[in-house]
Amino acid sequence: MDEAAAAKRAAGVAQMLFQIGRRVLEKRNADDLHAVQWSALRYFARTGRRTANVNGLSQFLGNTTGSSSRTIKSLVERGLLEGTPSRTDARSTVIKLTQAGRRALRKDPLNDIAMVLEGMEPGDLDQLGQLLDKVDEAMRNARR
Amino acid sequence: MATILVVDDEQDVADAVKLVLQNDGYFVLVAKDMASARDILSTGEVDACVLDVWIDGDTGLDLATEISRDAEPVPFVMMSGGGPGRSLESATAKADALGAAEVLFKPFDDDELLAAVKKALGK
Repeated sequence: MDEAAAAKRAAGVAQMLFQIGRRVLEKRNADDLHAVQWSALRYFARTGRRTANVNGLSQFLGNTTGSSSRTIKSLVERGLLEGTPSRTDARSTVIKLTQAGRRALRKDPLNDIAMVLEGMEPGDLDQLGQLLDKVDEAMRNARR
Repeated sequence: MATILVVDDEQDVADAVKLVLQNDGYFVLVAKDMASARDILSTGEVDACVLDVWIDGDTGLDLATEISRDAEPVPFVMMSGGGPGRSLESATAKADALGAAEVLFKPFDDDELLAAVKKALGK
């Protein structure tokens, strides 16, 4: 395959990935959450007590504590997260999902695509996971 | 008594995890590198693994990939505390895709570790 044809095929696959992402995000309501807010909700739904805080989220997302702090604040203001004093360290706060936060996660746009993927053959799913991981790694390397 | 393999190159973490699991009645083996982990896994006597994501790079996830491709994969729990190159979010997604029973974010409490291992063993 010549260089131009390879570039065109790569652009086609890139377009497919982009369209899948857009389809998932288009399902959001106008007042719905941004991708980073969904990531934060997913994180607090699964993390332990000692990492349910700003530092934990910051490490999970790979961003600054200031940025994670703003994400948490926006979710607290929407009633989806709440902070409670830690039982072991009075100076720190443990962040938890509220009932509304748990309800919101049931409508996580990720669920739609996960349901579609669940219907795939295990071998195809495994192969897709490996290929997407390669794409993810290449994009991370390109950013460095 | 279930046999648990703990794979972590940090001595302190491996010792702490081993102690918690032993106190709960498990037989615990520790590997500090990938080669030892593979040797122990090849005996077929491991019921579940607790793997660190970062063992000299990404190799914890590489080992998880190898395990997941076995005909009868050993259930595993990933432990992660951040590291070079890959965000925790990305590592967690990969661990989930490989079928991790649970992903524990360091530092975690003893009861969280025990619950994750029980989940891996299907209890």
